Amino acid sequence: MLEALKEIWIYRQLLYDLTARELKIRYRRSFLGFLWSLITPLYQIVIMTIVVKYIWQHSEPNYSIKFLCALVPWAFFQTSVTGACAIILKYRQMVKRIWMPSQMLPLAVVGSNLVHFLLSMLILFGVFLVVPVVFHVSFLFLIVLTGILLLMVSGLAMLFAALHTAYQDTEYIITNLVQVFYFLTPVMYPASWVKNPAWRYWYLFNPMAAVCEGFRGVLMRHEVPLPGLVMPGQVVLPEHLLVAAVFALVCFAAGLWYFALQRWQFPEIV
Amino acid sequence: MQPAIYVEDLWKRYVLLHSRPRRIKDAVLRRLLGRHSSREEFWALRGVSFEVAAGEAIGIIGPNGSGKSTVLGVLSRLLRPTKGVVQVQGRVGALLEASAGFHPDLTGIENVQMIASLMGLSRKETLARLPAIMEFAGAREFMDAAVRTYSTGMFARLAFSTVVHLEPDVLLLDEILAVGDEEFHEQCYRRLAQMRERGCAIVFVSHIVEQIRRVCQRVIWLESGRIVATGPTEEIISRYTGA
Repeated sequence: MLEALKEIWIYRQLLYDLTARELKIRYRRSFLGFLWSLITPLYQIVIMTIVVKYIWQHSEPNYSIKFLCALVPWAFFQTSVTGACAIILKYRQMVKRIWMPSQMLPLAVVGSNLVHFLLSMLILFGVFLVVPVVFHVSFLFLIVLTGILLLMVSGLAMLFAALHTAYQDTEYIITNLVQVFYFLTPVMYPASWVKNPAWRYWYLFNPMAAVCEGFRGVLMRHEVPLPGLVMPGQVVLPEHLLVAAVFALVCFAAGLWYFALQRWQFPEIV
Repeated sequence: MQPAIYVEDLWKRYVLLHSRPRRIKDAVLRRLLGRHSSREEFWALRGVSFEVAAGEAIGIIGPNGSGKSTVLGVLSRLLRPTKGVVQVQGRVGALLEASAGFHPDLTGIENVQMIASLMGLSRKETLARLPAIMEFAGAREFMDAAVRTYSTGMFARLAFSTVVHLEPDVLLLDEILAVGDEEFHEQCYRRLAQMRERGCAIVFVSHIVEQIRRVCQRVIWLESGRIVATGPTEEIISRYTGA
């Protein structure tokens, strides 16, 4: 397992190449390709805004922006975790014939989605120039949240990639589980819609809930979930963040461990 | 001096694919119902030992399914030995199933860079060798096309050229001369002789006796995962073809 960790550093050039490769496929070598990939989140937001504002007639101020703040980290999570499942099989021509540190394949999926995530954050900040959101020093805390998210996503990507290579219904199960968590996580609604304060407190121990609402809290309300910085009425608290951070570490260690345990048999079973 | 390749009592077992659960559903059901359908196993290698010195070319002959390709798989780290000692010194270049492990959707250049970084060369070292690789393969104008668009011969030429120009200390070749024309074969023989002079150890798997004769000084005759005989090329080949 430690060897697999060391290889990530030794073969970083390979990780870079594979990531670039995944991005090229995704954007089809053009900037227009990047714009095309924004269509899905765009229509999600437009439809939900229409539903919330005009059908439910809910008076949530700045609903679209609040959705967008949480959708950006969620999309990174979702595309990485589901996209990593089949990656070993996609590279079977290589995996079967040459020894490679194959943990780089799911990590390259994460890497390409990370680039997409960072570009999306730029777009988000662009939107902030025209809507009533104030840039604030607390935005620096997004780096910590992104770190937690990256660690969690990398671990899960390695775990599910190894599982899917051995058991080919993994992708199907994961896709559905992620969909379930989409509704259990404050992405298309803010956590304040969980009206009961006690329920909301426990609800935010879902690590992705802490991350997504954490993004929204920093961007919309300048809330930083660190001891000593908690504001009255703050949604995400330091204990939620701590649980998310520990969960992310466990995910990474478990993913790396399981992948290292399984990968020697990939050339025989792909 | 330490041999380039040292193999002692190598055993390799495969669990046949159709006998293992391929779905989480099946794996769970199996455990719940306690239905342990027997794992079907296959011993591809049963106690193989040999050494290859630096600068030596050794051939492996034997019928289909005798374990020739499995030996190369284990030497290239791709397959994990079930039992035994395997020591390989230095950088390994491998062409298994006549392929360097090219990805069909990547371009020629991208594939060369990928293989090079897997063999431990820096980007700078790779770029310095690129002209020689293209020259030898005669693929200069195809390098930016995806390799799935290549002809079989072109694919084989680029794969061979890539691996031999990345300065391996050990070269593992599996049926590489099954495709390509006479001229390319001659080019390969010359290059392999050069590699040997520089101290590269070569393991060459082929079922074509004539090719083994051209490349190897020593031959291992493999059958059902066991070594039947090993010795100078002519001696073993005449016994093998006579048998």
